[in-house]
Amino acid sequence: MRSNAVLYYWAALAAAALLLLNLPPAVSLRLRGGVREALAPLHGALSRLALRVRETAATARGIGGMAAENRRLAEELAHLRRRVAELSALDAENAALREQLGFRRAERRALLPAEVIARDAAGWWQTARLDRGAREGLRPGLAVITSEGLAGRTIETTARTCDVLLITDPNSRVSARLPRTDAFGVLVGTGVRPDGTALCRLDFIHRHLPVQPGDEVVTSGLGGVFPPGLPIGYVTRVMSDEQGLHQTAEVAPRADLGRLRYAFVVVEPPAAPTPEAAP
Amino acid sequence: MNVLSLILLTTAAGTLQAIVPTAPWLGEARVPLLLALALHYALTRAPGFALGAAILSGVVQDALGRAPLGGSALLFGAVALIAGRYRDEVFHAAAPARAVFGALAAAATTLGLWAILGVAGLARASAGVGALRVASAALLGAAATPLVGHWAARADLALGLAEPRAGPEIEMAGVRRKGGAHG
Repeated sequence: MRSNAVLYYWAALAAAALLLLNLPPAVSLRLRGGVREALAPLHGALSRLALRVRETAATARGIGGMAAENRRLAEELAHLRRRVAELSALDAENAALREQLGFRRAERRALLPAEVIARDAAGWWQTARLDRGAREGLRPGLAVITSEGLAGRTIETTARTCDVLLITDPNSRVSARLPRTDAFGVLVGTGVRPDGTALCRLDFIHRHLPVQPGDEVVTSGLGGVFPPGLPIGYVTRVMSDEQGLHQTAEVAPRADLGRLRYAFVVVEPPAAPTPEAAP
Repeated sequence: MNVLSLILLTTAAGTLQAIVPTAPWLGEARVPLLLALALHYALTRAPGFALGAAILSGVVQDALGRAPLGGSALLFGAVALIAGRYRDEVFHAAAPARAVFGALAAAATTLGLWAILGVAGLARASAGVGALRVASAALLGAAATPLVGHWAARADLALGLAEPRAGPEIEMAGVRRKGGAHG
């Protein structure tokens, strides 16, 4: 390349980068949304294909063990039916007591099932892209859960997709509570370690509360993003912070976020049970 | 036809890069398919087209993540211009040369993006995880660049953009170079 041409290309690159980096937020969001929307059908199709291939391979590997699996599932079904019968009686009793005390029943949360179609393309964030978006009424700031527990919250939406910031991302903050001791804290993601373990850290726990490994961690409902009582994980280790003013706990999430395939978006805003009126 | 090929291959690379799983022991580094594609164009096309392709690949990568739009475009563009500058000094069509280009480019862009995100306060990674990610990116870049180059060259052939030759090098139709100058 001649030196003039070299300078011309470097100047063109600098100009393009400056232009892109200084785009107004609305234009930048629209450009991002356009690319995500364009690729969403391909992401969805390929993700489903990959899942089908994995399931087929797993089925082929497990054909020999299907009878044993069937037996195990039948036992589990019988156990769960018994449990549902017990819980139905308790539910009725609970409803009667609530009525007597004048408590309004906590509204059931509306859950929108969604499929994970992609992850962050650069690998710097713990995010997942779902195949539901603004078309289904999603917006940033909604809680996302799995059947095991809290997964994260929606941060960006396009018409057909939404991005979820997982609780293991270092930018994630969740107000959490330990029901056993009624301790509160702020749950911060610490990323995924090279050995594959994904952990979080619960900061600012009162130093005199007896927190111990095995304690359950749930959402506190403070802050307005996450409904109260969603299971998050379990305490694995408790430490005192450097100044000794608070305790800090290491928390293992209940949900396996590294293998997340399906999730549910909590569509309604959190509704805490509040006393309607004293009888 | 060149632009059509660029759009098709960028779409494919962007789709796959966000889907192909990564491993925690690789520091969660992604297979740099978009960067490999940008390098393919840097090594086979005129610099103007290569620069455009690199910027497009960077924009797609940024749009599919949370990085500021333009960060990857700047890094990919710089890598493309540098690779284009040195492509005549090595046998750039050979897989080992492409692997070296890919490893250096992936390590440099990962390091650059880490710096940009750190300055912007957008990503928090410890020095250990960041270093592991840079090393893994180099490894994945070395593996992905020759493969992407191979498939992109085949796509070029299928679209009539390249002429098969006796040697391993594929010369691009309409962008043959004279005396080391591109274009």
